[in-house]
Amino acid sequence: MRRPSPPAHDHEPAASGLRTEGLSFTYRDDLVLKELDIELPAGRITAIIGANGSGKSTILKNLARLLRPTTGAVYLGGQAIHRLPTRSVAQQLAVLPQAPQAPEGLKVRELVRYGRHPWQGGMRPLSKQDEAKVDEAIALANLEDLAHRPVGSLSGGQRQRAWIALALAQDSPLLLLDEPTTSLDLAHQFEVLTLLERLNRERGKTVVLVLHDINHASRYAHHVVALHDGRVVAAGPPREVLTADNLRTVYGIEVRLIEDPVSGGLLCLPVG
Amino acid sequence: MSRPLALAIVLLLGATVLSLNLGSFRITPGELLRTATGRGDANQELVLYRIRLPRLAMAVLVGVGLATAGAVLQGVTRNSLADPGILGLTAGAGLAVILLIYLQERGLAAPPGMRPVVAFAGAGLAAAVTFLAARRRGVVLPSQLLLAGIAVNAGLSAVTLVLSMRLDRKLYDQAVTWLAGTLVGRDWQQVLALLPWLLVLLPILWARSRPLDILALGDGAATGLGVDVRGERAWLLLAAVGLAGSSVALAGGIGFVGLLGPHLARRLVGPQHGRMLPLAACLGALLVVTADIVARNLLRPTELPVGVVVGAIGAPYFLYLLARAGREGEV
Repeated sequence: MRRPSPPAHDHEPAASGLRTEGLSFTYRDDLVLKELDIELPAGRITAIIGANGSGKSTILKNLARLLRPTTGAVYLGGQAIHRLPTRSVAQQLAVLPQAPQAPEGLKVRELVRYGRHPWQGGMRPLSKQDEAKVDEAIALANLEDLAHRPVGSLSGGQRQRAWIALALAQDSPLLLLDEPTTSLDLAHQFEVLTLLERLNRERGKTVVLVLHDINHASRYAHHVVALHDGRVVAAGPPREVLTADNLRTVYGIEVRLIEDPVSGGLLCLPVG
Repeated sequence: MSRPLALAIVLLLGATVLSLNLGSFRITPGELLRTATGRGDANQELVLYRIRLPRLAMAVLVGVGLATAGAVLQGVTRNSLADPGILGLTAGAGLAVILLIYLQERGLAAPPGMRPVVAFAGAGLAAAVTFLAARRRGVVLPSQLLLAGIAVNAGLSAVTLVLSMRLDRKLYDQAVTWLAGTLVGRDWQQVLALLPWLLVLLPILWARSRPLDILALGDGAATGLGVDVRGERAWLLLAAVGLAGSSVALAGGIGFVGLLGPHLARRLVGPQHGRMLPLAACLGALLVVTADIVARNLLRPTELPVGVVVGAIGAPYFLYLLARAGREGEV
């Protein structure tokens, strides 16, 4: 039986921890997030789970400074993220939004090269080092053969890998992803999650992702944050968070949890 | 330099020579060379230096300005149909000019150089109204910009129509010609009024081509990559409005250039602005210079408004695109 393996630190673990303090977020008079104190462990994979409308994407957007908290704050390496220059945040934290769109005709390598923007600024052409980082990101995402194809011509899974490669070229210790597996078929979901697992294991990247599928969270995450109605129901290792009680609160259904014969984690079966 | 850009420059040079040759007073390439080296006769010198060259320069500048402004507006709004016309700029300039003509008819004394100034103010005001209408919680939303522009356009055009119907016949003709876009009688003074706008704004916009590329990925992805989305968008919009406003102020409501130049450029060299902007500018200039040749010579000695010819060239191109998109199931 294999537990989700603790990260082997081939690289330095992320120095820049990410946490929230009293984070509330209001959208059109609706309190979407309610005074959240969340800690995202460095060098680990954290999955944020919750029902539709529970605020899980909103948390991710706040963590990535795409949205600004109504009250409270997000701290990156001990500093309020909204006070930091956006470019220096981009050097520490890459974010993959939900269902991103590339302009028509943009090639994979062209997209991935944008990942160097936080490091080289507006006008200068990419340096040799930048190009090397781009090559590396393309290789990591297994896209060498597709580098000169337009992003729009790729399959869903390949496209998602191209966007992940863009985030990798950013060379940040933190990687935030908003539902990276949604609308992918089984094989492509597996491909994307395995890639993220590898990045965490081999590169020591801190990965934070919003997931729909509890079984994905159980299998790939070291740390799970379960949300209901803008509040944290439970946070901790998958075995502690993914209990029948918690899942009843989060999703409002009865589940049975059994041992997963493949990953050694838990498998969640809805029973009604 | 990309091959399409080299080709566009060669074509533009060809159109330039043709434009200087053709007209009710023909100047052959040989005469052109002689006149350029100071050995032409007085008539040739007059036509070349006082009439055709400033007009040609104007056509080039207006084409470059409108196409670049269109490309930037399309990039910022992430909508390939955004152009100076759709955002209400042209309509704003049009209303301002018609209002000026109307007031002059009723005895308002205005110096002859007022028209471009008034047109520019009108374009700027209309753009400001469009942007204010597209604001939500202090942020200009690209998705709202086109809708707001269409509304502003409709309103301004209605008022323009009412005013122009109250003009007498001769002034009405003048107004309609201006609204359609014209290069008749453009002189060096007007060229020099437009040139500084391009000299300042074009390098700024070309230098911002990387942020423009990244804005095209969407607000979330762009913020994630360290682009200050709100600030960048505001400056880019302002620069595009300056470019389009100055062009429209001096040449009237020439439409389609801001759509066609960038569109064609994107098809030829892809969506990255570093390569796309210069090509769009060249194609815009080529389009206006070519349209001006046709406008001056097709029904000689009567002259067509150049904007009408641009529209006549532009509309079939878009119909062709639409038909293609229908067949291939893409846009």
